[in-house]
Amino acid sequence: MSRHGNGAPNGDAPPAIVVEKLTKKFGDFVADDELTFSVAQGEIFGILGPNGAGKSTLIRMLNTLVVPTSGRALVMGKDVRKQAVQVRAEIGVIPQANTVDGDLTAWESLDIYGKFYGMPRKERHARALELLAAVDLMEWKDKAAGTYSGGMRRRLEIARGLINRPNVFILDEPTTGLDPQSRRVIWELLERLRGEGGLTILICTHYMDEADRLCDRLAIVDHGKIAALGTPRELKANVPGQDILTVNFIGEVDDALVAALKGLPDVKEAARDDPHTVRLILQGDIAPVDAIVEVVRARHMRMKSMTLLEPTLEDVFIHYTGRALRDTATGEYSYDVPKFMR
Amino acid sequence: MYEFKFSRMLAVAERDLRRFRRNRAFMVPMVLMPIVYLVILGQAMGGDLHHLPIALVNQDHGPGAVAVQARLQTLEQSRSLFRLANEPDPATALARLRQGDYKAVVMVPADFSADIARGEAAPLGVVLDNTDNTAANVIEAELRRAMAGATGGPMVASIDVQRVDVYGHKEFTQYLVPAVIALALFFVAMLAGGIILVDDRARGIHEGYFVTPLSALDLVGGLTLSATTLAMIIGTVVLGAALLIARIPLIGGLQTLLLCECAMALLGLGLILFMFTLMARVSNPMMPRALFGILNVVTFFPSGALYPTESYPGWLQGLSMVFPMRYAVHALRALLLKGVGPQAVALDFGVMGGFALLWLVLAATFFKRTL
Repeated sequence: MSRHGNGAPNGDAPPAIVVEKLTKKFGDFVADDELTFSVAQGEIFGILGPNGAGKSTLIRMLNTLVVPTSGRALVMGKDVRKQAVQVRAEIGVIPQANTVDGDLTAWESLDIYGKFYGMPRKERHARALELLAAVDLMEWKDKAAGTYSGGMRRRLEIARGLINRPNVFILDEPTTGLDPQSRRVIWELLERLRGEGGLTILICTHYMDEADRLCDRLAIVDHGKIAALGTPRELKANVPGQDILTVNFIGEVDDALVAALKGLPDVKEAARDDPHTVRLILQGDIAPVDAIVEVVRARHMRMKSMTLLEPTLEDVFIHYTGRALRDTATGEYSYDVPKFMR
Repeated sequence: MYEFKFSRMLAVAERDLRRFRRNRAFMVPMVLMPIVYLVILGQAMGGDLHHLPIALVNQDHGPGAVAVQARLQTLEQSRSLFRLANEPDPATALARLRQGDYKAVVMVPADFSADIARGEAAPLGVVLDNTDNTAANVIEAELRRAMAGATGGPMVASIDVQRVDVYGHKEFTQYLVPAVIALALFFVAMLAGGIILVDDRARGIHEGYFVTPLSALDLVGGLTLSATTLAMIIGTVVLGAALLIARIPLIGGLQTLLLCECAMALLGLGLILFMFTLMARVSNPMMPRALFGILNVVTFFPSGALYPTESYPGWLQGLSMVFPMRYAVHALRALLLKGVGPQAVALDFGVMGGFALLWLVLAATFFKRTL
């Protein structure tokens, strides 16, 4: 579906996206504060962050909807501020809000967007058919999009964003509000795009499982700054002492056993979860299984099971961004147009 | 079904009142609208007529003719009803009447004073531009009163004012046709240029456009083209229906029809681009709806569609001149009721075209291309 077809991120090619000290201020409020990172061609790069962290503003600066206050951003070598029109020709965008035109059919929507990019009729139609098949909307292509479910609309937006064969595909919370089936379909679609290679994908999300499954690298943004940057594995590895070992016993656990387990060198914390279960928070990379077995035998207890829980991306997220809510008010009222007026 | 609790009802009312308090800006049009109606309608529709351009063709220089001229000058000076000009001959005066320079031509025949001297009823010809129904009736009534009511002696009492409608008899319904066409185009401009534009913006449709290579001019141009097409369809249907209902004969045939289409296109363009400029940065869909009534009063009523512009005070004349509605109504009236050719409406078309161009530049300039 994309222009190229060479598989994994291309580290030799110039970066698809370069962001240098990119800053956006709204009055006194700094939404993004000197952000710096780059995204390789063919990479899926995720931006994670709590609500109001500055993710959407960053996305909107990169897709030319918001003009940066200072700093620089290049998309496929083109400056988002000085070469906005050229940048728009390089990108496909799925905005956060649902922007599907409910009055048009999927076919009409794709055809009209193809015209926006100046695509010749034959190429437009071939591309529209290819994309409708890819997003599984062929059967519904002649129905008004206003009659589609949320998942179908999002798939149509993905098809629409790819109509011009972009080099960079920017998705702002593409699965928010969708049911698990629709989310899965969209993930598979994005994975297929990655499999074809070449297309750089920038995805903004606050679904950890989505980021973990799809992204080659992630930036965690908080308070307008990058709090952490790396592959999901690197980020998880950098969260200290967070492996959790749950040990389930056949008999009831007494305080002495809990205290003995807590006394082991690689155990940071031990606590009883229920009468038969002890939860151990470990420090270091290796679970002290032998030592635990020794302690248990010495006390004539029998273990039923042992489960090691590695830190999730959510643990990483909470580690870097904390637990406090980030409520903000924009100062502007939003207004949804009633359906009967549409 | 009829279960009721006072506190719950109060909670519903409280919610709505809080909403109104948070949207105080929208209260302004509600308060302003009746005031604007009072000021503009009061001045545009109920005022006395002033400065009606009248030509006097005096072919007699006897005492009767002098008396007629004196009475016309009195009306001009005392009530500012007329703006009197002298023309040397009937042909020139009538030609200028047809061009719209005069609302009426008063003709004093060569033997006017001699007829009066003989004690016979002296005919005083009044040729009226009856495509302006209100002004024509006022001029005729004022002339009859001035001539018949004069008590200066038996001489003036025998003046017989004879009305001639230069365009034949016209029904009031026919006189209204340009007004309803202009009104129909205003509604289209309000809907397509205001309400739909802002609704699409609120629904995120424009956000989808903005991430494509479309420029502000592409957007404004495209939206204008679609809205103008809609305006032309609606205008043509209304024109056809109005021609049938009012039974207006198309004097100029196909040429008149084409010129009417041009007038509608130019008016539609001007109004739509005016709305685009006004709504260029509006994001709340309540706004165009709240402004609907005020814009209708401000653009339509001072256009001369229902009442002659000669009755307006200076400030209202100025207001009427900055909206293309006045020129469209004038052109459509001339085309449909007088059967004039392109030359007679060229100025109206030029002004409307100029307005459209000006609003296009302003709309493209102010149309927000980013969020």
